[in-house]
Amino acid sequence: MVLTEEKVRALAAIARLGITEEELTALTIALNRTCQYIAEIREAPVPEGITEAFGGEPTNTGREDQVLPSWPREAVLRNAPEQANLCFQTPRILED
Amino acid sequence: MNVGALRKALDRREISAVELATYYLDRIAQLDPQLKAFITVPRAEVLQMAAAADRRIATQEDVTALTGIPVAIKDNICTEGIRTTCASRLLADFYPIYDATVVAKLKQAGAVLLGKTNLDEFAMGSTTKESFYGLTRNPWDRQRVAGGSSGGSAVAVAAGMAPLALGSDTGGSIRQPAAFCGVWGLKPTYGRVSRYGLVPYAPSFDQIGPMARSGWDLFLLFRGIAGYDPLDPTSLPASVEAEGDLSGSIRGLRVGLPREFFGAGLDGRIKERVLAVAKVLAEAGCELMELSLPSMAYALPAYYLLAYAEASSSMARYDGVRYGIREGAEQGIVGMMTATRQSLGLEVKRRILLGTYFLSADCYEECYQQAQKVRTWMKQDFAAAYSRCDLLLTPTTAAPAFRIEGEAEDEPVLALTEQYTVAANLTGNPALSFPCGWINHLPVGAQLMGPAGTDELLLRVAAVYTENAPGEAVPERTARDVGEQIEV
Repeated sequence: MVLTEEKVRALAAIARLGITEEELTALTIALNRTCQYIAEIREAPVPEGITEAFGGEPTNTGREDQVLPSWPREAVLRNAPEQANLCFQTPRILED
Repeated sequence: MNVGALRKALDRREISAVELATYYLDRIAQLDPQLKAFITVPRAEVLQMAAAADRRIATQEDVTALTGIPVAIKDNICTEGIRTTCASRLLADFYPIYDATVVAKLKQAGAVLLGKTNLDEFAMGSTTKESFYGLTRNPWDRQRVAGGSSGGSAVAVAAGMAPLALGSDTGGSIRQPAAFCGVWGLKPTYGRVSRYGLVPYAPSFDQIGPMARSGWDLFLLFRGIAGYDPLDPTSLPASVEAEGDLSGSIRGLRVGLPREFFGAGLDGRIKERVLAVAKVLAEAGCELMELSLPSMAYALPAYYLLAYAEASSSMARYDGVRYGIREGAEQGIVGMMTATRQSLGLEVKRRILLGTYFLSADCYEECYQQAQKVRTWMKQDFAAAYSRCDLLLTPTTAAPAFRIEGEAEDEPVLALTEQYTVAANLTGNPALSFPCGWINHLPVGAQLMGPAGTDELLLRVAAVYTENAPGEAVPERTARDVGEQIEV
């Protein structure tokens, strides 16, 4: 087994993902099954000279700067779970 | 009735757009409690859009092929002021403040947005079982899956609850449910349809595409949504012809049958039906050839690695700050993010965790980078194939729609439903699924793939097939028959 429950719990912490104990058991099994399945890619006989640059050399798709109207702050905040003073409100991040 | 016939009826005032919309709303009310193809049907807004279309038709101002035609929209495509849930509890009350470019284009054309269709949560799945709002059932056999993740759109079209629908396709999410439900579905060339306003799953794979009951209907919707969009940095500058049709000879086209799509795991009856398609194309003047695509052996592992890695990054935005639900605010910022994301379904969690793992130091070089190389190899492998032939003909899925309970829990069965579709997403090329027959009253789909930009060619070839093999290609039961099977 590549991934232990402890390791899955650590991954969930990195991903800021809440999982229950029941889910942890099910996910550990499922994750290992997928890892086993994808392991064969290590042996893929990729021809010489092939790189990771899937689309060829990157090109810049940027446009000329143009001043356009933006969204009103009220509209952007409309879906926010909590807001105050026309800003997104979060729990305290820094201590006093 | 196809969209062309609806257009004529609207233009001749034999029916109004409001009457047409009402017909579909009533049909949804009648059938959808059983099928669950829709998450949201905003009846009042639908009738307002239809009334506006009627005014356009009355004054003959700006009447397009889609004016007054109802279109269902997959619920991961943003619609201003209309709830967009992505089939997630997390976005149960999310009302976008803007329209996706495809939605804006449809509104501009006068189309009537009929409602938002069901999907696997955040488009992560291939059954439409993974929806917080309940699973979508296959209209041909309600004990079987609709496919996914665009299962709601496929069922809406198959059951006659909408003449047209939009889906999205990351690894086959338009084509697989289209095949399972007996409708047409196109995954366009990457960049031909704007992704602006599509809630991302794996952005280098995602494409919005049309679903319909015929090639011509599909073409009309594709023409309505395709085109360059400055708001999507991956949009292609290619223009879309405003006019044109699917007629024209396909004589002399070289059609490749890649061995890797006809081997182990494929249901023999599907193989038989796809080879029957090849026979019809040969009779229409196409040249058939067998060929091999060795990179296909690694297509699914590469897809899982890259798509899940992108998914883990895409899903980071659901942190309980800007939109969606918020839980655990009393636990501080990290506690809040963690508690908020706890409400995601198990399949989404599985993909986020795998993606996080694939991008970690443990796995990055050996797996993630290797998958990127396999993707480049596949692109070259397919390009080499297209230097020998014009397009490829394959099955869309290895088996017909499977049972909701039992088989669908089995991972190998799920893999079999995606193994033929992921290549088009990995290479960015277009792919079309169209009905080519039946197995025990369940529809079967054939897939045509071509090099970038050949979307219209694929449609033309499939249309020629349908014309020459109507008995097999046209669903043997009408939409009304689907309705009659369902106790209402």
